[in-house]
Amino acid sequence: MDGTETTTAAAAPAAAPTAAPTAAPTATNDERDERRPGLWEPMRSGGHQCWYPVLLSSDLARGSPPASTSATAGSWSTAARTAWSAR
Amino acid sequence: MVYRGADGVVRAMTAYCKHLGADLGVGDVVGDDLRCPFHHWRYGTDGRCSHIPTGDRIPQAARLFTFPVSEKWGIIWVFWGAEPPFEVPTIPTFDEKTMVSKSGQIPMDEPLVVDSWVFGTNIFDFAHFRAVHGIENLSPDVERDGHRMRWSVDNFIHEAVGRVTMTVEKWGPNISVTHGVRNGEFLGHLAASSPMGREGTKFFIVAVTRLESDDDEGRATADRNLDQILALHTDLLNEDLPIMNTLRLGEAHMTAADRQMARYLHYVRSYPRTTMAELERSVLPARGDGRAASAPSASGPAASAPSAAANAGSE
Repeated sequence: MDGTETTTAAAAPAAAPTAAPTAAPTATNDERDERRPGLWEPMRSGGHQCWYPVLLSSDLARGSPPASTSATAGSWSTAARTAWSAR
Repeated sequence: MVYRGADGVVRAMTAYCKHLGADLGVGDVVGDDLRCPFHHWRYGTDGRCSHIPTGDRIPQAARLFTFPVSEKWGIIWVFWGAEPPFEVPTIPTFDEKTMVSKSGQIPMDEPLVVDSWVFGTNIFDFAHFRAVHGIENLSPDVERDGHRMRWSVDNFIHEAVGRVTMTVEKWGPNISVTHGVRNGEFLGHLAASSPMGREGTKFFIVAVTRLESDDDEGRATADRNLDQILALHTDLLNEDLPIMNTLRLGEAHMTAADRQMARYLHYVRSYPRTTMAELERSVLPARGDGRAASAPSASGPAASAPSAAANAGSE
């Protein structure tokens, strides 16, 4: 094996996979944080360890105030004002 | 919390001061250091508290977690964790000498209130491409290689871009990459999403195309291509938006047509996660009993009160 895995339509199971969501059937978006066990596991168990884009480089100058999702000043929302920047 | 020091380097650290939990996002940058707005505790580039104006001894636990940061495609990326299993993806065949790109956010009709990984399932939900987006006949095989899942088609048709021979890659739960050809023109994009607190989940996009000739006509053609790429993904995102925002994440009955989506969900389910508390504990000095010293929670000053009291009593 070279670590590459390919699944074809012919090889795939015809029945519903066992990995199908098994969360509480009455969960809604509003209730998601409270009731989303199983495959739709809630984020309360932690965030996925991956790369997240947070800001355009041009929106964070040297020495400018820090930016965060929580702060009211210098918020990451400044990125929303930069709609389209060429490089 | 992210900032760029006088040295031009972007750093990302825990958002709350270890003293009383003030939000460092409303602090300021002094040289390459970060200064808390509340009592001017300063933190160095390694996240350690380096100065307390009162002259008190600096607690060992006064240390912020520093996140891996990357600047790529004109975007600042922060890795939620200690050691990335892969770098910020590139767009295959991208050549900075012959291609141009634009970066920005995808405009959305309303805030997206589902997590990135939930929206990410759409890449493998081939039935929804027809029902929601009017894109017919997509049922490719999906290849997985480590954290990259990939499928290709020669019949991706959408009014924003026409017919494209396209390869789609998905990296982890929140990053997608496409690269393809339309009538000999290269069209590529990279999109990724982030949870932005009360603002919901935001999408960043990098569009890429080839600059066939470095003149007015060539640049106009490239601009048109880049805008079409943005238009395509803006359309797709906003068509999904009302469905994603009202999704009932309950019991599901998947069928054979959903098998690739189920595979992806299985992958996401096993994808490593971590919490801010775990990351902060990982940088604290070990105590005599072999456990890491308790860290004040990032949740606020109340949670840090016990350790603060201990410091006050011993120093």
